[in-house]
Amino acid sequence: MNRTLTAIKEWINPNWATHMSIPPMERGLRPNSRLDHAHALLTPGDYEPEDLLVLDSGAIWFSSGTAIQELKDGNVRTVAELGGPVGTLTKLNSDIVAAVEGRGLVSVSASESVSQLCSDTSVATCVTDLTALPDGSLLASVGSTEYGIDGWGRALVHHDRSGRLVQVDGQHAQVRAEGLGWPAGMEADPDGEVLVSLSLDHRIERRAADSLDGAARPMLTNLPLYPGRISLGDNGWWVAGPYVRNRITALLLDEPELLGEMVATINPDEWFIPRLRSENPYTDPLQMGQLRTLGVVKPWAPPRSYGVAFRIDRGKRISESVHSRVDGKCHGITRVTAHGTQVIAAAQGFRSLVEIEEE
Amino acid sequence: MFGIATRGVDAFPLTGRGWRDRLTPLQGISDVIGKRWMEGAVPLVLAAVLTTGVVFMTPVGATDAPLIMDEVAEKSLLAIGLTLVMVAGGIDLSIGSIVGCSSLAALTAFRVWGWPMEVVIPAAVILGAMLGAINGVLIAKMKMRPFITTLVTLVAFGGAAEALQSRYTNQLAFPKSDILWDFLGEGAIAGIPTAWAIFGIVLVVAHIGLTRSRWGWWVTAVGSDRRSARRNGIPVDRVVFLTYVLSGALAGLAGLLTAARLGRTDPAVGEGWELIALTAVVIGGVSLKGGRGSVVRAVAGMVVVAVILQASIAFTLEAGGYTAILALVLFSFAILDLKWGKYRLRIAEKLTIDPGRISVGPLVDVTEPGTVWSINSKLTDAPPIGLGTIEGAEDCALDDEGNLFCGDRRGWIWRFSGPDHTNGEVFARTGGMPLGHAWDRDGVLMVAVGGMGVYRVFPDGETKLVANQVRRSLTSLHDDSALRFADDLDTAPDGSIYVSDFSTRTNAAEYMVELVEYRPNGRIVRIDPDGSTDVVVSNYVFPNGICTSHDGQSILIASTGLFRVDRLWISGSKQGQFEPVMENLPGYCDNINRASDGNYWMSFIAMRTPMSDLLMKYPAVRRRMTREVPQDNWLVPQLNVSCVLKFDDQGNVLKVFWDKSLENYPMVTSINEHAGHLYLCGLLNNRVGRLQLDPEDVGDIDPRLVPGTTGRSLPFSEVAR
Repeated sequence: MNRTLTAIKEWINPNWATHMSIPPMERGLRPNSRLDHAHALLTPGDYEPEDLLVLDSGAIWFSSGTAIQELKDGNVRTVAELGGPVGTLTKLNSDIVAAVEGRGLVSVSASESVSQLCSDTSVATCVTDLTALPDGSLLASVGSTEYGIDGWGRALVHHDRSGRLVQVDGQHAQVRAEGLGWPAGMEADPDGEVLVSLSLDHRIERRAADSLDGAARPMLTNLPLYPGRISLGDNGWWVAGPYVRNRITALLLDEPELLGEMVATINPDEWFIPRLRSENPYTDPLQMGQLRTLGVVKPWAPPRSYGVAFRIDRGKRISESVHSRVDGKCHGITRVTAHGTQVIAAAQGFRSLVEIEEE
Repeated sequence: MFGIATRGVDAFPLTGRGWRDRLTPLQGISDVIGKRWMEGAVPLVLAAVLTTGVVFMTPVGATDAPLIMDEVAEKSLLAIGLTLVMVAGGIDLSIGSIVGCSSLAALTAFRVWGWPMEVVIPAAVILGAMLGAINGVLIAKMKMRPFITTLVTLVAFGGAAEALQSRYTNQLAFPKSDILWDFLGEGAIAGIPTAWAIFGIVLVVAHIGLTRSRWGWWVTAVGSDRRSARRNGIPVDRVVFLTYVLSGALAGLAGLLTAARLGRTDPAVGEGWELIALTAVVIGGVSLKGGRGSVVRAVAGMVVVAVILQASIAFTLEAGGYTAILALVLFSFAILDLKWGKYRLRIAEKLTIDPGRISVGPLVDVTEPGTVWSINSKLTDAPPIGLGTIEGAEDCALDDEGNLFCGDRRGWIWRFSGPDHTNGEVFARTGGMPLGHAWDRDGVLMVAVGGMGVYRVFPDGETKLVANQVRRSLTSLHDDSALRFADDLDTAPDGSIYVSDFSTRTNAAEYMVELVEYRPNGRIVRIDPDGSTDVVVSNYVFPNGICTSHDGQSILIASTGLFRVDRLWISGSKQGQFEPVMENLPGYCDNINRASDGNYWMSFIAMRTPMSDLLMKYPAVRRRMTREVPQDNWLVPQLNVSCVLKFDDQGNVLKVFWDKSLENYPMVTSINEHAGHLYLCGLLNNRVGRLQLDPEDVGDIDPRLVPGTTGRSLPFSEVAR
């Protein structure tokens, strides 16, 4: 009945219907193999980098598992063991702040001493990104209040909209915006605006730093991917795309009965939703285009996991992107950061850090 | 109705569903709508409803039948002529005034000039034909628009008739009698009024001419697509010219009959008849765009018009009222013609994929270590044969000299000879998609060719058809006689060939549609040594592998869609019985072949996954997927894996080989054992693998021989045709 009504509505006015179409990757997002050709800084498989920071000294700090690691001159050492899954990292004054799942925000000083920065429950779990506001406080994006940091898939299938922006000033935390579809990344602008990437809404928008729950100005909408963390560099913002959209997932999300049975009976690793990497083909269904024909899998086949990151220039357009397609392995990019001319990506799906070469 | 056609063993219960899931209502509607005759059937049924309505709601009744029939007999001649013109893509509006002209000319020639009737009758028809020829020359030769040309000639011929009338007004009024004249007007042939009989003859001739003769096909071809018709060598101009001449001649005949029946005439006779004929033709479902139409249906349309006319007389409506009703009917049927013609096939297309529901059993987790299924890399390093030259060898066969024969998606059969099979050459060309290979009792290669049927291939590379059809089942809307998707075959000891026909609805290139639709459309066909065929198992879900058992008493059938292997007993005490061998396998089964140690080899083309199993419970979602998502995005089981297993007669899985890399041998569709090696074929692969078997796996049976036979007298290269 509902569907009949929808059909009638669409017949009267096509704009009233929800369309499942996903835009193609074109213009700035035109696919290439730059991520596959990128130089791996770690032996793939040793670590699972979630986020990274390039220090002024040139050392790279990255979070992997429950620790922060340092990569310097090709050697990796553990900076701090934080007792819980370490998520995002950010610089605050001279310290590094890390979000630790279940523990809250932790500060690591230059001398590598660890101190608890904020243990408020609102930032204890599922902090996806942190950014320093001009007034010296921190802004944290919380993907969901229902699910943990590893619950992106659950949030997707439950159409979760409990994401928040929380301002943290010392021990004091204040919720500044609510009801967001998994805010996955943020970056504060010097001119008083904050870029927010809303993963489940496939969009990146700008909000005024002093009224974060106020009107949002869309910057990029209907992206063919689920945008992730944002980093400001010299040439604009680099946005990581950990997951890309899939038409079958879009269809399943519109089929509540099947989705309900999937959630109830199937192991979450095998749900047909985008993922960071594809490892066990024996329990994965296939999409027709992924068929290996005459020994070859088409790179442009519909992806389950994919590697993509893009740069938004000062003119607010996507001007550059790096990809690893279905035939590549450098999938699941969770952070790209530019340090001078150096562009480094944390490829969580590939379990490595990669340095992207100039075009 | 709707696909319940069972022959031989009914395998539907294997799907675990009830009778309700046998019904394919949407597909049934699609099948009906897609029939060619539906083009005209819908307008005609509506016309019949209209007629019935008029008969019941007005005083028109059975007593009016002769009057209606008179009307129909005369005006149908016009409708038949107009149908011919319209099927050829034109239109003839001048028929009304040709009737007027010829009736007036016939009366004038008879009464004023005193011509004998033997001359007047052909003269009237010839006059009509000549007037039609004027149209024909203008339209066919001078390439004028049919509509405007015949509109002009309508006025011109009407003027000519009026001139004739005013010249001879007085003389025309005198009655004059002649036996032939009376015979035309009031006589009868074997009790049937002359006009009716003439009409009947014309109708039969025109119908046969249009539907059965070469000229009729030309007319249809010209009307469907002029340019294609010309390029196919059809004399377009001549065909078009002739339709107008015929239309004119039939109008002339109608004029003569009218004049004879009424015994008088005036220029008003025939006025407006073109509209009546046009209405009848459109009601009869003759397309205004040309290329489609039938004279029989046009006549049926004329009956409707005549009944309406009779009703308007019964109600004593003014002439204007009748015309108004006629215009209304014409208008609505013209719209129907446009919309129905445009959307019929589109609707059929939209409904044709009608996914079904199938109950699936529990899923074995092959990734769990320590079971017989545990994933290994035994196949990965098998050396390739024909790497890069082969495109999709679904199956292969080996002869006594060690030559390898395998198919190719381009329709070829390769022969690889020499040590390590390095010399590849195209051995035969089938024109279809060669799938299963097997040897028959005489040592001749048999190939199941997708889209074509079963063929024998002789040593000189010549192919010969064995069978490509079975008797059509009486209760199926869909024509299921062709072997569209024969995919594997094997020979039984008695010489009969058992063939698995993957689906009666789709061909080999569209197997993915079946993987999404999931209906038990497959069957097993037995080809008798004398060439006759019968269905031994029907309503089977994707039979994809077939193999005669080692004792020769049964055949093993692999079901791709139900993940199972069944056994059909073909001789012995259990003959005709059907029983399961393996059920709930973790993959989608493909070809089965005998192993040398008394067991069987089988491959999986795909692995079941929790998601694809779940999707099978939701036919509506699958249907939506086919409608809204491009085919490259369709969710299907995991087809990129390779899995080869060995099982025994009791259905115990003995060994499983994998290619863990998924790169060298994805989707193994067939395995053949010969001389201590396994040959791995893949429908989508660019090579055939040759895997050295462990000595423990090799027995002393020759798997290529038909069970129960003891070697062949001649090697393949010396077998006579």
